[in-house]
Order: sequence, then structure tokens, then C-alpha cells
Amino acid sequence: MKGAAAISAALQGKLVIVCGPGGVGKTTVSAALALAAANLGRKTLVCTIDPSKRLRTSLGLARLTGAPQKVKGRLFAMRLDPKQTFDDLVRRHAADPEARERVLQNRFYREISRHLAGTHEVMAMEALMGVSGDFDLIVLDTPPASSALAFLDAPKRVLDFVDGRILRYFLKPYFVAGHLAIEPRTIVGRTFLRILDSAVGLQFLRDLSEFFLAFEGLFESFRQTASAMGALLKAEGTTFLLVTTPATSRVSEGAAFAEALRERGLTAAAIVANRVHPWAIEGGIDASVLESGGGESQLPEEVARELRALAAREQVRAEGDARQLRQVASKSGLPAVLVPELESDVHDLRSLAAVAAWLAPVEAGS
Amino acid sequence: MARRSADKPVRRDLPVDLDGTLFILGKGGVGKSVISDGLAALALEAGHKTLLVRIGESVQEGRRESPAPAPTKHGFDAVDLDPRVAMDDFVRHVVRLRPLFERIIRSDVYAKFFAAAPGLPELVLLGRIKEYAAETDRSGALRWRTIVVDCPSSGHGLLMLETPFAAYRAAPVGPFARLAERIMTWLKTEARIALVAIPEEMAVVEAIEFKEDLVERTGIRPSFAFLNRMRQERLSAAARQAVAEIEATAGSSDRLLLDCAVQAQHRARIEAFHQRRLTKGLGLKPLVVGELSDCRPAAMATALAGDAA
Repeated sequence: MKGAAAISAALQGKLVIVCGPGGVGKTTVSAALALAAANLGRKTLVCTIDPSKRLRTSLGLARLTGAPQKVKGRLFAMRLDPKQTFDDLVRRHAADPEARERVLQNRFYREISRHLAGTHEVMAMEALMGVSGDFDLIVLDTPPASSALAFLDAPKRVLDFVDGRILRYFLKPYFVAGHLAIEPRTIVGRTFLRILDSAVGLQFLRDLSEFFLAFEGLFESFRQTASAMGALLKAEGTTFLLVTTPATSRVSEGAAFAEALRERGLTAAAIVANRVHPWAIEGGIDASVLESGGGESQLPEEVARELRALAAREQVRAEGDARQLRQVASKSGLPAVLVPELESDVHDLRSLAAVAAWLAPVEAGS
Repeated sequence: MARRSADKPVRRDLPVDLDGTLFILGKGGVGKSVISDGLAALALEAGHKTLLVRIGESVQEGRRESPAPAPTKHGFDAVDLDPRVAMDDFVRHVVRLRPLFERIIRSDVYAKFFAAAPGLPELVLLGRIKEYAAETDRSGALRWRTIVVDCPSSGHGLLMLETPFAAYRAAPVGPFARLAERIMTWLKTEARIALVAIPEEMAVVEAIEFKEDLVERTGIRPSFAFLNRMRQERLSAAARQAVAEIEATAGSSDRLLLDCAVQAQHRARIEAFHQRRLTKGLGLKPLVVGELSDCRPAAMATALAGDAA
């Protein structure tokens, strides 16, 4: 029960960050964790990006907005919209309406706010920090990423990219005058400019410089958010969970995740293995069922043979899952919590509660 | 599963046309890599000289030069490309002077900005793949008749394919624009895109959204789709009748077997639902790929050919 204890401790903290690759049921696990915490009496907010329609339905909400909405009892939900948050930041920091529009329409900005690695994560944290004071616990469903580690490196990536000093050195003097006003002091600088200029053309550079000129104030805000994010990740009461499935998990992934957290001095709670074959949790079926002639049977022999073959195939799948999970657990050194593949998609609070029961079993008497 | 023996060539009807460059895209965890491996193995069995291109962030930190395609134990060639490293290759090509190149590559500006700018490394990487597609041997024949590109998962994969179009719109002049234009034309006329999904809500929804985004942003339609990990368990009429009529006591062997059958029926209905939905959403019939316990390319090739049979 090590895994369950780790999760129950995480739910008593302030922030649970749910990581994992796309498609493993991260959003459902996040919502179920939040539901479990709310049932323990904690005022809980689940934040998610782009929830599927089914999750909205399962929470009983026609639509999720950018502000916390009450789901039921002490459970609240909020949709994170990184692009919207970014746009809001621009609106807050722009000097005047004209400057604001210039940035929002800037091609480079639109590209950055949509695609720059790390932006979504930092913007998610920005939105989250705005409401964190109102809740006992926040469960954050991180943006889909190919790697569970993307979230951890997001602040650094974004900060590196918008590091004003470096860009100012190269671009601002260049463009203030609208032409090459200064000759960079170093040969590296000159070559770099030459490559940029010949490679992408003036229009692109104009967009770029306009973006950076208009963003002076924003950089500072970005830096603050990113460093606050760094501090929050390390704070006591913050824990990380990795969600995976036997079908998608690579053994190395869990280990890399645990290692990366340790390196950064962050707290990993557990690995949640979602959609596990039920037989892999129950320890499989009695082997005698798969053998012919085992006891009285009402089934016609043909049918019994067909179904035994079917059950044997299921058993192979279950064994595959169990093997995979043993390896993930042993390589990562983290406790694992198993959630079986449920018969139907999670589509209402009741089915969400079923997932929650696997994640955080309610002890008798509590 | 039947194993292919080396001395006995296998002739199969290919499920898809394997000539040219195929980009394999889909959400993380749907089996893109395994399908890509399988397609490469299938092309090889059909007698094509084949290259598998895997795209990802390079494992070796500090790597500065892309590796050359090399033969694999499966018989086809393969190469691992990292957009950032491809970017380095490009700069090396432009700068030429080795010491200068080294200094640029090591500079903060390059590492933090140029090589990290959204789209630029991806554009250069696509250019590299296009070069592979045009590479010839001494006799003037194409070095690879089939190139299979195992793309990053959905969002990043779309970003990669969209790059030349976005770059061309943003900066229609200069060498990058010319590169972008050539790549756009090549993608539209000679490359093909395949989507991979599995019979699950998110994967199917994402594949359909991906197709819509792709058409909107590039004007290219996916040429085919794969629906992977389909168990396709079908109960016989007698078994279905038993499920409907026999009431077995709880805990008995019969009960366990019948429950198992009910589950299989349920799963089959879900699979059929997603198959219909994907067909409708994509406007093309996905090739159904069975569940595999053996993930080797040859096994996947057999599974892929299975649907055509």
C-alpha cells in the first residue's frame, strides 16, 4: 500500500502536478484525484488544458471557463488556456492599446505564443498562481508533451529564449534605426547577423525586433512567473505524479522521470499506472479455467474451447501488463498505484469516483 | 505468428503504395514507431531500398553533427535526426570556416535563440529529408525508393510539416523562403502523410483534429490512416448464444469464461465505433492493424499486410 500512502500524503499537500505523455488518461486521473481530495473535505481545484468533451460531461459542466467553477461540494474545475493567458499578459503590460494590438497581431508573437516549447507550461503556472490562494489543494494536469520532463524544464527554456539581454545586444540597436546602425563588435556577432539577415529576410527581422521592443515589460513579468514557478515546484506541499499505461510506458521513462525529479530536488509521489488489465491487478485467473475438463460445465464443448482460447489471450495480455509494471516499478524506485482499465469511458462523476477509489481508497472508519 | 525465413522471399499485396516519402504521424503512444518500422520492413520485403528516418531529440547531449544513414539489422537503412542538430549542420554548411562555426555554435545567442526559434530547425530538418529523397547512387538511380519518416507526436509533428508554409508566409524572400518553397512543393506533390490512431477516445479525436488542422494550414490531406491495436475478437454464433442464454453461478469456470466473452463483445463494439468514427472524420478508410505481442519490424510487417489480405 506504499503507493496509496504516497498519494494520500500528496492529497494533503498544496499542489499536485500530474505529468505524463499524452493519451494515458492524465486528465481523468487529475480529475479523480481532485474528487478524492474534495471528498476528504479539502477545497480542491483541478486545472486542465483543453479537456475532452467527456471530461466536461463527467464533471457535469457544459463548458469549462478560465475561472474556477464549482463542480460539486468542495470540488472546483478550471480550464487553462495558455494562449489566452499569454494574450492577457500582453494586454496587462502593453503601454497603450496601439502597442497591444501591434504585439497581438505580430506574426512572431503568434508563432511564439502557440509553439515555443515551454510557453504553455509557464502560462499554465501563471494562470494557476492567480487563483492558488483560494484553495487548499490544486491538482494540475500538465499540457500534453512527448516527455513527462518537459514541464520541469519549461521555465528555463522560456527564460533562455526571452532573455532580453542577449537579444537586445543583437537586435535592438539594429532595428531602432531601421537599418544596420551598429556593427557588432565580434566576428561571431557579425556572422550571426549576416546569417539571420540573408536567411530569413528583413520582414522577419522586423517582426522580431518589433516583438522584442514591445515586450520590455513583459520580459520582466515572464521572468517573475518563471522564477516563481521554479520556487513553487520546489515548495513543501508540492508533489509530482507520473501517469503511464502499460501499453505506452517505456520502462526507461519512469526511471528517467524519477531521476530527473531527484536531480532537481523535487518530490515524486508515485507512478500511476492507468488502464491496467484487471487480471494483472487481481493476479490473473485460476489456471484450471483455461484447461479443458475442469469440473462441470453447462457450455457446449465447442463454445467452451473457443472461450478458453479467448481467456488465454486475455491472460497473455494481463501477463504482459504485469511484467511491464514490475519493470517500471523496479527501475524507477517509485511506488506504483494501479488503476484497472474500466469497462466504459469515464463519463460522469460516478465513474470518476470509481477511478478515485483506486487512486485513494477510503479507509474504513475515516 | 509465422516467421519469415531468410531464404524464402515473401510476396504480399502491399496495403499502401510504399513508393516515395511517407510521414507517419499520430498522438504519443499509438504505435507510430512500430508502424513505421513495419512499413520499412514491408517496403524492404517488396524489394525497395528503404530508409527509416526517426526524429527526436538526440540522446547524446552536445552532439553537433547528424549521423549518416546506416544499415540496420532489419535490412533497411535508418537515421536518427534531431532538429537542433540539423540546424547545426545547416550553419556549418553556410559558414564553412570550421573555427568560426565552432564559435557560433557555442555562442549563447545561437544556443538560446537561433536554434530554439520555433520552426527554423524543423524547416532545415525537412530540407534534409527532401535531400535524402532525391539522393542517387553512382548509376543515377534513387538511393532509396521508400523513405519512412517516424515523426514526433501530433502537435510537434504538425508544427514540423507546417513550418515551410508558415515560414514562406512570414518571410517570402531570402534563402529560407526559397528552401521553404521547394519543401512546400515537394510535400504537396511527392510526399504522403499517414495518420496512426488506436481505438480510444482521445487518439481518435486527436487524429481527426489533426487532419483538419493539417488541411487548414498546409492544404495537404492525409493519404492513409492506420487504426492500430485492434483486438478484433469475434465470437462465434454459438458463443454469442451461450452468452445470452446460459446463467452460470458466480465464481464458476463457466461464469469466468462467459464474463470474458462479454468483455470481448464490449471491446469489439468500442473498436467498431471508433473505426466508423475515424473513417467518417478522416474521409478515408483506415487500415486495421491487429494487436501485437512481438514488436519487431518483421512481425509488424506481417500485421500490416494482414489487412490487405
